[in-house]
Amino acid sequence: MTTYIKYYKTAGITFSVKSDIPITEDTFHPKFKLFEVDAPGDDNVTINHHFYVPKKLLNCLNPNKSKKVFTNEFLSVHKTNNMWIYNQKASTRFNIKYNAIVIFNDEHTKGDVYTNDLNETSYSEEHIGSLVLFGGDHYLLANILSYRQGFLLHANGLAFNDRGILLIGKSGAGKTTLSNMLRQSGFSLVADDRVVLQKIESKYYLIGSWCHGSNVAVTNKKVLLEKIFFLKKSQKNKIITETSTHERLKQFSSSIVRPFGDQEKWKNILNNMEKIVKHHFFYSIYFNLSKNICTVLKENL
Amino acid sequence: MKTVNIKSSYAVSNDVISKEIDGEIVIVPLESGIGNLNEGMFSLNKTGKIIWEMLDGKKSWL
Repeated sequence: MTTYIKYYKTAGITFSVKSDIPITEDTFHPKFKLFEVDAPGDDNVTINHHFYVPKKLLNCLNPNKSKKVFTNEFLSVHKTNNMWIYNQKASTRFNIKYNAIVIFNDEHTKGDVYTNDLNETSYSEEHIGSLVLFGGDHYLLANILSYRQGFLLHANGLAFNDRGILLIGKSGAGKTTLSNMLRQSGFSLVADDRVVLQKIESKYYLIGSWCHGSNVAVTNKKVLLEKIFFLKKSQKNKIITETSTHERLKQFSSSIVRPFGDQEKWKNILNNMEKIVKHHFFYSIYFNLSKNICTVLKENL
Repeated sequence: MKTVNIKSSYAVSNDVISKEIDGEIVIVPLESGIGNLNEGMFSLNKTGKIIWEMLDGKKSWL
């Protein structure tokens, strides 16, 4: 039987997607083009797509067989000794298109995706936005990065003269508004609403991936992280150094997309959080819509 | 709301992980959902830190 394979790479990790039915140019969303590579790399994650759901798999969701660690309107997550089981229910309200069961090994390096909701015809033209058929690959990346000195952050990454800045703020804080103003002022986008932050040889880099917010805006850029800004809407434009450890921890951690995890994974995350909080420059940035903040920010870089 | 019995002794659960960062104790429950971390992370100030470090499963408050 022929196996069809596509490779996508971000943050030094190559994702091999394998299927028994053809993967066409239109199977995945066009955003993946930026990340497509020809072959596996040094660090690989394999995701096998299956177009059926075996009955024995449903048994794994039985409380006697696995422990339910999370549930919401469209997803339940179960854990056995060596597997993570994600049971996704299609939901128009949450823009979840497929019923699917996804099984990953502990480290999330090998996954099997099972669904009855796609066939050869639909799979060939679907423009799927996630390699695991979820609403996005946020949970997958958050878990994988936690083993690789990294985070997935709910934040915006931008760059000016190859100097990376991180914009952190709750939904509605103005991340998109400020990002748009900065882009009009010469900054370039690294990642919109979901950005990878990863330690590479003792330095932290902002990296673009195919994860994003409600707007599909992705890049495959990688820039050195210089400064971190917490967003505050205001009548004035000013930048103030954030010296409080409590505030740094609170605000930075608020942006981390939480992986499911064990003690080892969380030790990695907290160790990296400590390094970032101790060794990077944090600021509160107050801004209005006049765009004057762009000049103030450039002067502070 | 859970009540605390001051005659009982308390210990830190194995279901949480904690780390001291720059004088603050950061506590993360291992199984508290998905989404952004702030929905499941706590940080303690100096007073909280003192209490946290006393949770050795032996001491009671009386």
